[in-house]
Amino acid sequence: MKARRASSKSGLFLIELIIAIVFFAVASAICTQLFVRAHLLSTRSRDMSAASAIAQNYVESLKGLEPAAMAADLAPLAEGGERWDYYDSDSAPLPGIDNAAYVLHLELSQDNALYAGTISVYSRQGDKTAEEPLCTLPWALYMGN
Amino acid sequence: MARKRTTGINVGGSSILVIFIILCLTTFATLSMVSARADLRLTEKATAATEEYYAADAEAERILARIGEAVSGSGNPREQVTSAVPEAAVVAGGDEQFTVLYSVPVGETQELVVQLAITPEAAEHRIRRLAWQVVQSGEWEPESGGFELWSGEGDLLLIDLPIVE
Repeated sequence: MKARRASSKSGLFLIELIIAIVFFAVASAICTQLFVRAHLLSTRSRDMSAASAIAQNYVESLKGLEPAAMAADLAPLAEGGERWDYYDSDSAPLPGIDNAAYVLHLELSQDNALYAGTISVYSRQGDKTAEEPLCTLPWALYMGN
Repeated sequence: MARKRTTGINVGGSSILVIFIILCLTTFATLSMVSARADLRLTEKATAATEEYYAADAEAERILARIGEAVSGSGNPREQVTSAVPEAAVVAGGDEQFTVLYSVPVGETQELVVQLAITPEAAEHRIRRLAWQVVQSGEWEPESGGFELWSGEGDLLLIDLPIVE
C-alpha cells in the first residue's frame, strides 16, 4: 500500500516537472525574443547617435576650413563629385574600408562661392553597407568675401 | 514508534520555482524593451532636430550667397540686397553700410536668426556675420490654472506655525 502511494507521488511529481519544463521553455523563448529585440533597438539607437555625431563633426570641420583650404580640399569634387570616408565603431576615422563600422558619403556641388551638398552616414556590418542611411545632413557654405 | 518515511519529493515546489523565474524573466525583458524603445525614440528626435538645424543652416547660407552676389553685382547694393532677401528680412542703414536681419525656421518652435553687417565698398570682409543663432520662436503657454503666487499683500505664511515666546 505504502509502495503504491510513493509511486503515485513520484508520478505526480514527474508530470508536474514536465509541465513546468514545457511552460518554462515557452516563456523563456518569448523572453529571449524580447531581449534580442531590445538589443537590436539599442544597437540601432547607438548607431544613429554615432552617425549623427560623425556627420555633425564633418560639417563643422568643413565650416572651419579657410576658403583656400576649402577650395583645395573640395575642388576635385566641385562638379557633382562625391567622397567616401570610413570610421570604426568608436567613430575614429579609418584610412580604408577594412574594419569600418560607419561609412560617410559626401555629395558636393559648387555654384560660384557657394558649396552645397549632403552628408549621409551608413552603418556597415562585415562586408555589407546598409542601403538606408542612418543620418543625412544637408549642408551649404558660402565662402565669398 | 512508527517513523514517517518521505520520498524527498515535494509536489508543487518546482512549479513555484518556475513561476518565480518566469516572472523575473518577463519583468526584466519588458523593462529592457521599454528602455531600448525610449532610447531609440529619444535618439530619433535628436537626429531629426540635428537634421532640421542643418537644413535651416544650409538655407541661411544660400540666402547669404544671394546677398553676396547682390553686393558684388552692379547697381545699388542696398537695393539689390533688399530684392535678394526674403520679404520678412529687415534691411537697415545707409548705402555705405547697412545691416540685414533675416530668419529661417528650425522645426516648429525655433528659428535661426542671422544678422549681417554689409559694407559694399570695403576691400575685404564686405559681409560680416554679426549673429547666427537659434532662438525660440513659439510662444510659451502656461498650464491652465497656473500657480498661486503671492501678490505682495497680506499674509505670506500658508501654514500656521507655532509662536515661540
